[in-house]
Amino acid sequence: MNKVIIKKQNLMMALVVGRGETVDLETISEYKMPRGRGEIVVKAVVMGKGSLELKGMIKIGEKAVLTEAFLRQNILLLGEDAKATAVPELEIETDDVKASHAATVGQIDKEQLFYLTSRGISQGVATKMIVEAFLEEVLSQIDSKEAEIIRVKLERELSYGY
Amino acid sequence: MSRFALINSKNNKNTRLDQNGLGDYKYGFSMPENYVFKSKKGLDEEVVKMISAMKKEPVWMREKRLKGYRVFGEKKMPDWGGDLSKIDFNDIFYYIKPNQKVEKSWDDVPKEVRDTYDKLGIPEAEKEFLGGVKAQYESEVVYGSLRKDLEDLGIIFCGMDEAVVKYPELVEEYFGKIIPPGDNKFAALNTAVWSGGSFVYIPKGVKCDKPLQAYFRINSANMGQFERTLIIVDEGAYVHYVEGCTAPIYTTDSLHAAVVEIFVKKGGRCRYTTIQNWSTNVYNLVTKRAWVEEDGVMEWVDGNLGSKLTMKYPSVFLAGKRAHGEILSIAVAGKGQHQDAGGKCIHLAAETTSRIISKSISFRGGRSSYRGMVTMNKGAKNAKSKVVCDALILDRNSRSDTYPVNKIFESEVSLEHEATVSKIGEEQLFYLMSRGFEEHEAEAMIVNGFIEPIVKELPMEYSIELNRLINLQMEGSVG
Repeated sequence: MNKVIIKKQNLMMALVVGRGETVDLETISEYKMPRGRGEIVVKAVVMGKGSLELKGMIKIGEKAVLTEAFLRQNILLLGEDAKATAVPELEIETDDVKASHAATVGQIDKEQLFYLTSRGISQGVATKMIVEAFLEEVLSQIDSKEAEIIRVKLERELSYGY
Repeated sequence: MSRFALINSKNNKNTRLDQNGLGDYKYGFSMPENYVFKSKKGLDEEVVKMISAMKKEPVWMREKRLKGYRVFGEKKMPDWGGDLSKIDFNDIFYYIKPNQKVEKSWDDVPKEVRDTYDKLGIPEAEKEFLGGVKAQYESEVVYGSLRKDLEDLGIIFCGMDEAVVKYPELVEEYFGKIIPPGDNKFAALNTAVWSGGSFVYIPKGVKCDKPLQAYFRINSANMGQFERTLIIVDEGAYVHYVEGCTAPIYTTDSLHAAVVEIFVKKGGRCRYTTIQNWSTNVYNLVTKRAWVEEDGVMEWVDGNLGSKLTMKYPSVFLAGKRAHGEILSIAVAGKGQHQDAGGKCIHLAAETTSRIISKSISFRGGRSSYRGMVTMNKGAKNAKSKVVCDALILDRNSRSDTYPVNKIFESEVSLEHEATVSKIGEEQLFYLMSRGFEEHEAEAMIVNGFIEPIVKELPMEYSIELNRLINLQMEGSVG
């Protein structure tokens, strides 16, 4: 699969990397003027044998004082042989700015899963609930048709088992 | 115990004020040169053979050197990180021997060497405090003492050159094992021309309760220092190794390309503390790596204050179950300086954990970069890692970068990375100034507060001196 580069200062993105799929995505947020504001949020679920390369650059130039720029990458690895690379980067050439980035890579919280299954919910449904909740932050913010496409894809991927 | 003791500038012949933006940087003195032997400038196979012959080394070490030299020729310069284009490998002395034999008693150490240390403020009384002192002046160990009680425990702490002769089986087995010459161009160069450095062996179950210290200095223009350190911490043993550097100021560029290899066996623990304060014409390109087995702990505490360009990323290979790695790094970049520092943690086994904390400060046009990597291999189930990078930028001309790479090949893991960049808050400054502090005092307090989480991990005398040094560097730098 080809590399996708998105140049934006604001972005809410949910990604489902299906079984055996490879996704290579880079976001670049460049600030050249003063008082810029931006936030990039990428939430991704990687299924078994899936592979995700996620890069995110925030570049704040010399003249871009009073910029506030944030980047967050949350990746959930589901199933065997799921791979992810998260590269959040910052380049800042002036002082008076607020900039931060954060990246997490993790698995489904076993305690959450235990809680739900102990309430009589099947493992499959519980997993789906947790994963949907993970993506919900983005899904609730984006166009509902697009959110639906992602939900359908997630459901299909989960139905293969993981 | 003043590792960074201020030197009265009246005593300094060569003090060049403000050359490096540090105002009155006090370490810029140099002593008349008095060498027993100095190699010609530049590097070829003959120089490598000559170094080996001068040291009367066994054949296997000479072969390692020659292999290093060949790899050095083949390897390309790194095309990332800082600007290395100004390094001229043909304009460097690769080997200088200041005195014929390894000294044992302080009184036998040549007067000029002693004077240099006096100016650095290392009192002789330190011997009482330290387990042993290995002071590297130029390329050779000139002074070494190890307290008898440590020797009785079976702890080996000696110069690397001495170790090649005295403990060849240990050195041959571990030398270049985790940092082979092919690792990078500067590791290859070091393998070819290494000189000095320390060798430490802590036997099974032995806890070394005093930090072992080494002292490094460059005192001759255009002289590279290529020390090689090897530390082996056997099962259940513990050691804290401390290394500090200061160097006089010269106008031509100097190169420091050291290699440090550490092996922590099952249940062992090693802490390695470095405070690097090279003068601002030195290229500091160091490869540091540790291999940690089951239940072992490796901690790097790394402070980078000086040098023109530092590229240094202490690494931990977590090879055994439940091994833990920790990297604490401070970088301070002033005028004309680029600190490209960070750390690497490679999780190879299950339930391994790591933590990287980096704090960087850029001022007067300085640039500090965090460059790091966390890799979790397949099979590293339940591995956990946390990376925190905080950067402080003190003026508009300075720059801060963060380049982390997190590679995860195992799904049952947890990794967190966060970075923030900020400047000194006006409100914090106002608060302190309203309490009667001068602006520069308030700034220094805020900066010292910023680096506090790492400074508190240093031995006490280091942390006091580091705070003092940062106060000195910071004076009038904000605005």
